[in-house]
Amino acid sequence: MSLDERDNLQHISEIDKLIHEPSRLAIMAQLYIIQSADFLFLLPQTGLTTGNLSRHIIKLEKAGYVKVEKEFVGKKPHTILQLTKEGRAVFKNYIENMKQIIDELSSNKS
Amino acid sequence: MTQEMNLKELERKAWTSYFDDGLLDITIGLFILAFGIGMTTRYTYLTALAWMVVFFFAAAKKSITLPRVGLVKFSPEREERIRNERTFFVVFFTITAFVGLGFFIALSTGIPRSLKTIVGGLALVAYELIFVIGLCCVAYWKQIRRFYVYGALILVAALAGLFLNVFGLHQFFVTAYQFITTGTVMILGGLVVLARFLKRYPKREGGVDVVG
Repeated sequence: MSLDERDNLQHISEIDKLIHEPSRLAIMAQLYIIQSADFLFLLPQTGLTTGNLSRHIIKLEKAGYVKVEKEFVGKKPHTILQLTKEGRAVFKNYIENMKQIIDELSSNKS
Repeated sequence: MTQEMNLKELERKAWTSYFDDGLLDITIGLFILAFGIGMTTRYTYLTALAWMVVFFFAAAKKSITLPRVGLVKFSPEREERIRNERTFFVVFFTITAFVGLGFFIALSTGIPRSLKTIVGGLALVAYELIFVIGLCCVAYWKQIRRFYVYGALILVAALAGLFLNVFGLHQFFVTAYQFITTGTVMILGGLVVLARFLKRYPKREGGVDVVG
């Protein structure tokens, strides 16, 4: 195995597995392009079910990528979600990494 | 570059999901329809009340869109664009109101009949152009392309109106019928979009806020 190939593999191992999961990737991408949104907004945008979305958000919150704020509108609970600074940086890093890997794989193929 | 474009496309989709409910089509359609109907009555100054459809828009947005799409605060760039859009429309409506007032005063004064016909004709053309420009601006700011089609429809109706003039119909009524037709088409188009929206975003009664 050449040194260059080892470098390529290192890029792949640097991928954040928590974000790489498709459902969480959809949530992160949606929150990355806006400032904040409520739970209801994310449901149709990500195409996830209520339970799935809730579960993935909890995982992202535990990792410190998503900030969850609870408030009450009248008597109804209302959840506002937004990426933390860390979450934003991690997602940016993730797409840069992925782009680099895809570019490298494409150039190796040609 | 592609990645940046895809994120932009994702942001555009999130943005348009807020306005792909057909309510803007129905509201502007109602405005143009009310304007057209007002022109056919003896009390043409009632057309000035057409702006009251904004109350319908605000109420419909609150009761139809928000419970289905939820709340979102867009990116700082988008928020800046929203502020620019608001400023633009305030300026646009102020100019439109002053143009209308100018024509109203000009036509109310004791100017010769021949001059009155020219000023009246100019007012009708001015309002057709204002509607076309206004609809194209809505299409641009809201990034909803079908509003360009509505703008084009007014132009087509204006051209068709030239033929109707030949058959002896008064230009004033021809323009009123153009507005009634365009307004009706917009309302029907809006209703179709609204039906699609209601199907895509069913109202979720409680139980959607289950994080944590």
